[in-house]
Amino acid sequence: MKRILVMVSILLILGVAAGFVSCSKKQVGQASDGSVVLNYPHYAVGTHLGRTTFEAFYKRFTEKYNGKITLKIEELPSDTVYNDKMKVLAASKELPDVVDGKNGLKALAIQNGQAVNLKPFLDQDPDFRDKVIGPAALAANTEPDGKIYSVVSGSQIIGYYYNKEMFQKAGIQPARTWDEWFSNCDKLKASGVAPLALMTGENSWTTNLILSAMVSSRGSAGQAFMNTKYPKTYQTPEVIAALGDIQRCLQKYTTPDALGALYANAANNFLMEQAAIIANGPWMIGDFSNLEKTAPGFDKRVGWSMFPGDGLVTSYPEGQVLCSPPDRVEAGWILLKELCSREYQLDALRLQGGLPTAVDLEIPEDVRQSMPLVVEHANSVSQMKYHGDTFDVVSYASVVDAFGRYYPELAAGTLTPAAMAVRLDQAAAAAN
Amino acid sequence: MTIKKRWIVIFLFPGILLFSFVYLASIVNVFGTSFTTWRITQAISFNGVGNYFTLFVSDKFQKALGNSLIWIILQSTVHVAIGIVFALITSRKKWYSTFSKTVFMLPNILSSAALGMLFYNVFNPMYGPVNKIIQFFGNKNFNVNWYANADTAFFAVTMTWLPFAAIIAILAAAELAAISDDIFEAAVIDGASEFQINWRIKLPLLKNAIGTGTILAATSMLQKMDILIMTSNGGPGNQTMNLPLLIYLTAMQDNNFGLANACGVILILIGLASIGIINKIYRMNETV
Repeated sequence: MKRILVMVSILLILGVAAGFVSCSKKQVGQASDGSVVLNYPHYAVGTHLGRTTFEAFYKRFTEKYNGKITLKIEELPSDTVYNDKMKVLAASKELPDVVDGKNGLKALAIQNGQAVNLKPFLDQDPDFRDKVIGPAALAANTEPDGKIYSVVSGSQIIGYYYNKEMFQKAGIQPARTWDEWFSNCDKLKASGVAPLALMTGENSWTTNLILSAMVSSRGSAGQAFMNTKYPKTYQTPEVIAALGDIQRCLQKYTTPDALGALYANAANNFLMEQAAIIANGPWMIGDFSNLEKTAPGFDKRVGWSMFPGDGLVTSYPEGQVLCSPPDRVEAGWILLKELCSREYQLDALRLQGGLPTAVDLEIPEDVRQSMPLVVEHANSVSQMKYHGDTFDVVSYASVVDAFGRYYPELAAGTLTPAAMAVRLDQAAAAAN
Repeated sequence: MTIKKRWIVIFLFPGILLFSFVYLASIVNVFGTSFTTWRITQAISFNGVGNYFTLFVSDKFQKALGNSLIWIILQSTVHVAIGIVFALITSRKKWYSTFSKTVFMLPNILSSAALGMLFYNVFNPMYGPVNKIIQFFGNKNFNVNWYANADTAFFAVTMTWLPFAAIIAILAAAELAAISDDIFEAAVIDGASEFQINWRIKLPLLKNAIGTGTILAATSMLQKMDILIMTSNGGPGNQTMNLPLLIYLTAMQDNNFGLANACGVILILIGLASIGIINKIYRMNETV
């Protein structure tokens, strides 16, 4: 029996060792045709808004770099799956050549030493740096020490869409002040419609956009809070007061399914004219004329407004992070540049309402005709009096999750705004 | 080594290798790293029982542990009882048996993510049939957001798995089919009622099937995560949090692998304890 056990043990050790050896073999970054192979997992698949933009990019890239660079594409079914997979790869320092840096992935790529400082590359290409990316987007992703670990090719300029017919019926105009905002909500409610399409599922997106505006509209302290990454505490007067306002919105001015609702539910409530207002970005504009989602002529009934007091939620997300090893870094940089190119930005504008960062990119006439609301977005920046970033960008993922987790208790009145701020602090502490 | 023993080793080898590589290595890794401070991209350092202390003073963990234990108890009792009663009823081979078995099996055919989405919509306060039926038959103003209301969330989540005991029913039905009809005929001749046959003959003979079913039901509660994410996501607050979801959030959201693995160790221990207790209760190694 002893001999059997020894034999089995030896075989097991050999088997496991063989497994480890095969797992630890690094991928050789070269295809059979001599081209450099770059790994690029992405989640712009299926019903994702960015799918058509990505497909156009992929076609363009493979034609342009045929025989030089081969893209090894891995399609992941959602950004959650992408995020989870990238975190595991970050832990073992095996991030792919180019990574979408959102949800804390950029920070992990920097911490594990894989993120490449792009500043030298950008300095060698002033046209790309100054015109395609632009100074504002570049500044948003510049580290305190001057290094640049990511570039983004799209900006988020967010206000709210409203149903003009419902506003007319209620006898109101887009609010100029927050008092008027609540008065509008009362009038909309009195006219028989739910004023706000809110949601607390997923990342509480449509709710937190309004919360962001409510915080950043509260003086310089509020604006500073909403433009600072990973704030030290959420127990500030501005956040607590804004949470009180959101509590009121959740209790009185939204649809019955808002608590726990997903983005799809909130969007559907606006598109199916169950709610009068939804805070969202210009990528939603295409839905207003999509007959699979809404009734004919709905796009003519939608207006757009800045938040009360001429405020916007503006954001330059992290964008693309270059993680290629030195032997592929040049090819990786080419891929990153193509993912931010003027052509890519134009496709994103046409196909998904994405606002470009390129300073010399005029909105084409066909887009002006088909999506006039995009022009309103672009023109609004010059009138903006305050702005804040999104909570998705300024907060840890655990805090974004905590918003959705505790909003139902805030709405039920079992949690005060001040107590919710404490919970948000606890969630932030868990991420450290 | 005899030829027989050699063959035993050869046949066992792939299974043992697979188990060692996939499970054993992982369990050893989880156990070892549960005593460390380990966050993504940061160096691992030993911290003794620090993670366990952090867990046991955490409200979120206490809630997740409590919920998991309640769900294990409910699943081991109510869920198993539903499956056994269903098997006893359909074993009578009446006109409704085949149809009932098919319908009862449906939730087990669907993926749990799809089932979660289905229930999310069934309980939806705006268009879900649950509220509509209650409004139709009684209270016109009835409007409960089942998964987001602290009073109803636990019940609504529990209802996504508690009644659907098709696996238990199949196990019991297979065991019932193996019992000789002579026993039932003898009981009928002795004047036993249907209830007495079920209570005094069928149920004792089903002991092993019930025990196996109970282990399956109890341990299934240590794996539930996707359906929770699709419905309540552990909320409102932490009302419907369970251990698997807490592990996922701790690892993938807080990037805290060490703490997540400490939670994983507790989950494994609860699983082993559940199997041990159930084995003891049903005396599964003894014949009837």
